[in-house]
Amino acid sequence: MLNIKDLYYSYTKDESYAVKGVSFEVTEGEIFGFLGPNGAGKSTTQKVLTGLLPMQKGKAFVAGVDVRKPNEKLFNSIGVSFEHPNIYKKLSGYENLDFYRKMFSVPTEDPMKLLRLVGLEEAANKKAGGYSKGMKQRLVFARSLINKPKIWFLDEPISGLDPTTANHIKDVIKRKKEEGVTMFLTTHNMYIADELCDRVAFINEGKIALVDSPRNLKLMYGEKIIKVEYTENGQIKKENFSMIKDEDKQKLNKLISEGKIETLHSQEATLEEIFMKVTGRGLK
Amino acid sequence: MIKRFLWLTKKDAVTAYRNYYFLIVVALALLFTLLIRFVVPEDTSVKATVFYSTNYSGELRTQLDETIGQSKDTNQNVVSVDSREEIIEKMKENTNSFGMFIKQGDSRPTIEFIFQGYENDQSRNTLIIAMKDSLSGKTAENPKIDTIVLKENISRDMNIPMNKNILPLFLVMEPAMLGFVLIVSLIFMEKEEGTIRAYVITPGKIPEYLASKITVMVVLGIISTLIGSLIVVGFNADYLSLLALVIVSGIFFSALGLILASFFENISQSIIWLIVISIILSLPTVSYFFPSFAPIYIKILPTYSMMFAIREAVFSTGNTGIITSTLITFTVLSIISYLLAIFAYNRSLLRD
Ligand SMILES: Nc1ncnc2c1ncn2[C@@H]1O[C@H](COP(=O)(O)OP(=O)(O)OP(=O)(O)O)[C@@H](O)[C@H]1O
Ligand SMILES: [Mg+2]
Repeated sequence: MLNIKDLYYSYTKDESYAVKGVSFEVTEGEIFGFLGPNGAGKSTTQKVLTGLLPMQKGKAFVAGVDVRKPNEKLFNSIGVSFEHPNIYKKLSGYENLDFYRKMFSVPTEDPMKLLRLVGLEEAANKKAGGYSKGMKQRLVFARSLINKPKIWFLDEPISGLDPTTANHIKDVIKRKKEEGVTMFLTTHNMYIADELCDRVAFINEGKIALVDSPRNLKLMYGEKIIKVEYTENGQIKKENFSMIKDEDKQKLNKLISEGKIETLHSQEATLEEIFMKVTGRGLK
Repeated sequence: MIKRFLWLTKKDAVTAYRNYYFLIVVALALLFTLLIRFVVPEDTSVKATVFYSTNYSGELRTQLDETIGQSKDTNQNVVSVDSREEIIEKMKENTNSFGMFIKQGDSRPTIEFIFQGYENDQSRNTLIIAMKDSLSGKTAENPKIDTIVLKENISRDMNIPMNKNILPLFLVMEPAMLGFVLIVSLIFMEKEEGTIRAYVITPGKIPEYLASKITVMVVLGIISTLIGSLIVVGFNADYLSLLALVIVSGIFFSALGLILASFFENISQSIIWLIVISIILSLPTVSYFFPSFAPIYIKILPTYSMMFAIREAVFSTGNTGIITSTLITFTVLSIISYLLAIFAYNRSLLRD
């Protein structure tokens, strides 16, 4: 569904690239995550793929359409949830969706149904300019589904939402995956990448450092950590033990045999720790 | 495509309405017509000068001289000259004047009134009756009255009451300038919202996007024109030509606004240009009041010919040529500026 080869993009049209030779493929029905810190080039990549920025160098096919020559078929088959909410402030939430659906030449969703999906049915007839930031974000999220997209671009769909709403949006994403929608999901939140994505690309300074499923990444790069609380000289101490280092294993064995352990948790490595290992920097 | 254009137009009209654009346009039109009707005096021109001369030497000569002498005392605009030729010569120099020549008729003296040709029948008759009145009682028999018109059917500003003469200015400036400014603010609003970016990832195209905004501006222009001209001149105007002119000028000026807005991100960056262009485009108003002041740099401004074409449509003088030529010029200008706007937006929208 997405086929990108050696994509470069420079805002200044010179050698300072925001995206430097990115290549990847996304198959139908897959959720492909783009994980990287601020300024890594995630949004830039997405903008080029959706035709919002011109193709400068490289090849990109989205839904079989060459992004160099974006056409009606391309726009009818993609949905884009923007990083920064962009809605008609003078129109109500309902009017925003109702206007937007008229721009497509494929069957569209019922605006009210989508508003209900993101919990905006009560605010449907209020001017969108008066929505809170999270409400605007949900409206943009709902709008991106209006043309029943086959490929759904989500730029930070959950950042800034409260936990309940975030969970709700995650559920919608999961449901759409079941319906077979292909997704390109941009985030700097490792939990979201971990929870939702089939495969994750680590992007840093405009380059993809590696691509794999979260599970494989953890198996390959992650080390199991055991978090232990134990008493020593009457005091409670906390320590992390790696299950790879022999030194740590021996120390843990000793604690167990001495019976000093209060609590003990095994913990998987997080994507962030792996990201740090691969790129040498964190996600923040 | 047509359907998308209609939906876009509906959206833009709703937005314009909620931004009070319609209210602004209607209020301005009403305010303006009130000013015309009640504040601007009907006639601010100086009293017409009377040039008079006589070669009559009959029995009524003294009475006639007396009468003229009296009006000379009360009205310093009476100028005696030596001959009929001189009257006409002087009248050509001063278009706000008329002439009186008294000569010997068959049996009684004849007063010849010489008019420029722009005076309407009513003002001519008023003059003649006034003259007759001041002579009656002084002479046994009334002199014969002749009227002569220098140039039949010429059009001069003075045959339109001063206040109504401003109407064409309003009809050019309000829809054009307001359309120019309002469309710019509409574009900046959408730039600020970022909604243009949401639009360009739909199958919707730039030409429809721009055309819908232009349409709303043209409708605003038509509303303002109808209010203004219906109140001021009623149905006494060539409405077909008037609307055609207002439509092409609306398209041209809003396309101009679109092009201007494409170069900037927000209103404050563009405000200087907005003001400068508005001032330049309103320069021809000077020539409207002082027709002799029409240097080439004013004549080439599109508002110049539009102003006189609209005046022709409102106060017809039979000179339909100016309407046709202005319509053609503006149609060409509109097409060019619309195409340029499409070009500008295709480029600038992809700049992020
Ligand atoms: N409009 C722009 N003009 C110039 N440079 C830009 C523009 N937008 C982004 N950049 C630069 O391009 C680089 C990549 O930015 P991008 O927005 O793609 O990052 P991102 O990965 O989406 O970050 P974030 O997590 O903050 O959204 C950054 O160095 C940024 O400064
Ligand atoms: Mg981003």
